Amino acid sequence: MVKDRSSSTQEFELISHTADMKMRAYGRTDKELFVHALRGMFLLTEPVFVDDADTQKDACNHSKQHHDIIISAANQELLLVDFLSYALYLSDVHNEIYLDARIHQLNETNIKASVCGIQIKRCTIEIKAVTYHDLSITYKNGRWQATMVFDI
Amino acid sequence: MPDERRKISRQDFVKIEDYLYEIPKTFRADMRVPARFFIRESMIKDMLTDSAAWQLINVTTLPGIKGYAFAMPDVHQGYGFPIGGVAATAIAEGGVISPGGIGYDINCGVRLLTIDISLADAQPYLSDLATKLFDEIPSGVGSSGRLKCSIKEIDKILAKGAHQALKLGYGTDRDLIFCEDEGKLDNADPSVVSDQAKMRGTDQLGTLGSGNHFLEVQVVDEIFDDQAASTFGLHKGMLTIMIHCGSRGIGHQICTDYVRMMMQEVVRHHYLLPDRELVYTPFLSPSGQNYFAAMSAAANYAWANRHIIAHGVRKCCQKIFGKDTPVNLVYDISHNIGKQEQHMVDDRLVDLLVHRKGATRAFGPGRPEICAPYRSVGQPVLVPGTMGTASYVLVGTAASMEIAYGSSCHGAGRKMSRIKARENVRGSQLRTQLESQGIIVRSDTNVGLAEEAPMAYKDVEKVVQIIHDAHLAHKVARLKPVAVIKGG
Repeated sequence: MVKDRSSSTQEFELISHTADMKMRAYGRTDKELFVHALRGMFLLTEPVFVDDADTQKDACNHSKQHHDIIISAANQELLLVDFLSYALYLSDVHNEIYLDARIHQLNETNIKASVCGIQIKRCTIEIKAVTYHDLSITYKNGRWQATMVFDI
Repeated sequence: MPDERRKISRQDFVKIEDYLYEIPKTFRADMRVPARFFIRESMIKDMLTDSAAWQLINVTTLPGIKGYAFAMPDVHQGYGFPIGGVAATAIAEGGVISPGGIGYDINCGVRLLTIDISLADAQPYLSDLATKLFDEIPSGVGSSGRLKCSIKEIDKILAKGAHQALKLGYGTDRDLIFCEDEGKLDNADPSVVSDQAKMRGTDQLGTLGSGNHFLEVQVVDEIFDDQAASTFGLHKGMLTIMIHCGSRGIGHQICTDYVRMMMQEVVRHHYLLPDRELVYTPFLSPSGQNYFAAMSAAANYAWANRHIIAHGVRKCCQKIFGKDTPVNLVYDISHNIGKQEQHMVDDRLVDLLVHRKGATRAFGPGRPEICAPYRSVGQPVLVPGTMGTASYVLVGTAASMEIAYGSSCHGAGRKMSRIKARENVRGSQLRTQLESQGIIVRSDTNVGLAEEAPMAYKDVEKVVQIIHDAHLAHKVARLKPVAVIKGG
């Protein structure tokens, strides 16, 4: 089980939900929020890596697989769901997970990013989808926060 | 946003019968019909501690909804619909279809096979059988099957379901007869399924997946209805095998694609929804028809998937018990699906779109949708319990058609989150405990076992008894697990 990080640098945390999995991600910037949500989602799947190297620490430099994601959506919340959903699709067809991303452009309705893939043997938990249930993004006291529920 | 978040209290549940409670339309201004819960009084407190009741109230706001929104006794919170939710909308009256009323694992369902051998005779070989099933049937997250398909081949699976699997050499003609809808929805259209969804489907046919999906070897422990049991080919002491899985990544992607599409409409037109996962579109609109055709395609994939898994199971059984050992399909049912059905509403026959999310069709005797060999007794209803308790075979009743559009529960119903289950159960201890009960366990991980521990679920005996007492379906046979095989 992924443990919470210390509060000052907390990237994400897991919140109990009867059947599914609820996650709250944090970031000092909106870009960081999107990256932490991506990283959190895939760490929650409890991946078993092909290599035990330090790939987790600096995924974008270690990764051999980079995939571009260019998405537009009606608002920032839908954009986050679409971004994570696309990453789930990539993960399923490439047998990779994405612990980091280079966000080239991000505004309320558009994202251009490159996610960095790490080959895995398997995940322990299958996330079927990123849902819109209890979805929210807030910005308060210099900190971004996003809450989302995954269907598992 | 009509959600004023009024707290639901015990007093809001009005008793209709010992096993049926209602929250009336007056509870919230936007409710179009009452919400009905097939629960006993002792279960109301559970309704107050999670969001399931609130979610069912949201379901009552769907345009075109008829009669009631129903919660089966295994109900628990989901997103959009509660799991264990049933709702029907009148197609000709602008009734809507909601992907949230079907779920991401489209046509997740259960298939039950019988092996014509007694537990006593099989006992010395059960460990080998469990090992063989674990080795031969791929399971776990991202598991790939032995069958790799091109996109063109996937299109055929999406269009023809289990029939295409048969054409590829899996299963028998007889198997098709004993599937709900004979393993194929005719309105499926692969052209409205995204390339992404198809890509996810190319290597997942014949795989169980993870989570609560499983294979289980069981013994028929008790017969409650001799006539129905005999019709279904069940007798006390015989072995059965239950398969629980769905449409894998292709279903998840189709639901994701269409929820996204419908969400864009909601934002564009500033529609107000009580819950965004309850997003919907009129069934007869282009987007409604496209979603229904895509959902049907995913349903077909799921039937092909269970068909191919069953073929592998049959081969394993015949390898262990002899090549002539009969391994027959009892039935294959869906518990995450939307169906066009005709039901009596206000004394007239109405075309409805029936959503069953974590709920099973349970048609009574005489319905033309039931396969000919079972039509006189009613449709088999398969209710998987937990790996340490029991599963049930029930039969649909005539009364069920009048009460809840011919619907029943789909399992025991989760009462504890997966996270809590992990915190409270040690997988290794659970494995030992199950083995001490004589249940063989084959699983990738102890953690996956812990998440599905019996204590994480409601008591299947109580859930099934409510279904029986409410005449939604009647008990036919109880199946006790003797070997559990699961991934994840």
